[in-house]
Amino acid sequence: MADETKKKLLNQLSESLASVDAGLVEVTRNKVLSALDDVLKRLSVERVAITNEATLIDVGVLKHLRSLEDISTMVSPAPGQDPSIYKEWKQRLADAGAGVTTALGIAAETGTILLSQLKPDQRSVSLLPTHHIVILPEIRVVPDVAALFKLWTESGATGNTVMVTGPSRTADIEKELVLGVHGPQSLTVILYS
Amino acid sequence: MSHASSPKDLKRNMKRALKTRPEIPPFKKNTRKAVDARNQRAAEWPDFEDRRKDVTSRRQKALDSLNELHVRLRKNWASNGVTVHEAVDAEEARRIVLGIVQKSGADRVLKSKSMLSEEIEINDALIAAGIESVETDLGEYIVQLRDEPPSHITMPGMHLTRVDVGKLFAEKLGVDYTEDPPALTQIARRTLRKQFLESEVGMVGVNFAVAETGHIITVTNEGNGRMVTTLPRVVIALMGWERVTQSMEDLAQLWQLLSRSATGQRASVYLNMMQGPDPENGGPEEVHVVVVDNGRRALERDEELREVLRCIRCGACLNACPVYQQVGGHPYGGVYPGPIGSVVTPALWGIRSAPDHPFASSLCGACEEVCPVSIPIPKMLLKLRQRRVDHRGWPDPEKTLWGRFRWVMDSKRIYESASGIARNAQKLWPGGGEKMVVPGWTDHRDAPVFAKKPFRTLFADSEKRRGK
Repeated sequence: MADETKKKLLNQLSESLASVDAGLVEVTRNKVLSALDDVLKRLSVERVAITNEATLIDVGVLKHLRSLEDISTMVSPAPGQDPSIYKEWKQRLADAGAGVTTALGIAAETGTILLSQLKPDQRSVSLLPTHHIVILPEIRVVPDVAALFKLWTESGATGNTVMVTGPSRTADIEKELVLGVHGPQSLTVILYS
Repeated sequence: MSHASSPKDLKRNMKRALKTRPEIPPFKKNTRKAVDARNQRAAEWPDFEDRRKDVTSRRQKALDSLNELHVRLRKNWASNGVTVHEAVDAEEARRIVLGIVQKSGADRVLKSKSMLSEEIEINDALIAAGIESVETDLGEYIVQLRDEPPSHITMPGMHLTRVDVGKLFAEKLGVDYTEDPPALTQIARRTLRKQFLESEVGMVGVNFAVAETGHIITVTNEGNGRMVTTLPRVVIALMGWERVTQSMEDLAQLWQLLSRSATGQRASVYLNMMQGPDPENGGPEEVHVVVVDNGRRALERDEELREVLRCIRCGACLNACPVYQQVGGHPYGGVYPGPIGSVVTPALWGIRSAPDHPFASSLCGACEEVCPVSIPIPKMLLKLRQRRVDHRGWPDPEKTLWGRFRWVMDSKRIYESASGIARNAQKLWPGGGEKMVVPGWTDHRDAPVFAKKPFRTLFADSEKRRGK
């Protein structure tokens, strides 16, 4: 990606995330862990849930969270478990302060994140805790929703998935915007180069 | 859906609504906000009109090959492990849903928003069978607590103020009174969160089903659509027969136009894409789709009205409609209010089911202008008016009146003597012709007065003067 195009996309992404009340933190790869610490501290998170995914392991997030003393960490069950374990897992997730996942891509125009819920349990980790934090590399920024869909179909991904644009919201009472109805009350994207 | 008035009572309901509405009706304020938000998003895309045309043709193409797409969809559903049920009408749909819930052993169903579920009146059927049915969309939750139907397709409680909701929660949920929307939302979140976690059966509406992959798509902002497809063991998806889209590419475009038109968002917060059961990864054990016809197949064969099946239920036409803005959704009766409801209701269930709906419009065209799938609503309303008038055995004073008018206009002799009589008769009205009273019509304007001499006399006189 040419530098100028990249800059334009990132500017657009920053505007679109702000317009849906989502946060964006741009860091270099070696600053991801401290950026995450800052976010968790700001949100006063005591228990954090994380998906057991390659990207998060590669950046060292999983190991880092486990090493923290003042925060307890829940890790999503490995794929192919007996379904009965999920009942208790989801109950505990609902009490977690934050859920940490990665994403397959993010669209600059709308701030839309494409989660791949296949394996492990991204679907619950991104939904039940009070806050949602997404960590992904800059190269996964695409221009728009159409490109995001294309990315998904071309990656051969099937199965259950969800696209997320900002924190859960409603305007059902006098069209006044309220964040955090049933899903997360906040969404923070940590984008690393 | 409880206590909905019948669509047949539209005229009476509208009159009553105009008399009893508050000085500043919430629906007036709320529709204006919604129109502004939609217009802002439309203006953001310089090629909005082209995109609208594109989405219209994608949607129409899908409808034109619906049978074929349904075959593909079923094939994919079968290989994805989705159980398919077909319901010809509302009664069969209720029976199917009830059967699935009873088999699961659950005594409560958690529901995400679905207009189709209102159409088949599933809540009443579940309650009658001793099963609790809980609406989880905040607006739907509010109107369910009030025991009334939604007044809007995407904003069910748009006829209410924060004070209304505050009083309702204090009374029904036993909480301290507050009229602060965030605080009220938190009360609903806490109450429903507990029920989500205990739920065994979830029910969702289907915005689209993607033929090429079998994905069942639900669009939500609050996250309740995700809750009821993530937490329960059994998921029931209610789908209108026409809601098929061919590809993910189509979906990408449809979703964006839907979001922009409905709420003025670039994209809805969640696009839930469910392919099938996935218990090994924390998903549901059973996924059922109930495909409901309930008049849709017959409508598909109706050359004059079939385009209305393109509708993606965004509600933009309600917000833009000068009639809806004055009275809100309830006076329409039934399930679908506003301009689209005035077409859908008689189109699906016959003109006799909603005889006055086609007339509840000024034909200003605002609805067609904002429709993301370019449904020619005014043209259809005219067709429906015609059907109402042509309906055998339907007495219609207006039809009689136009018949007489034609009789008069068809003959020069009758026209001349009739207008002569009218001209002289009008002069006899106390205070002159402009004081004439025609109920309903002269409430806010003067009656037109006949010219002293008709044009044909003036013309003949002037010809005479010029010596011809």
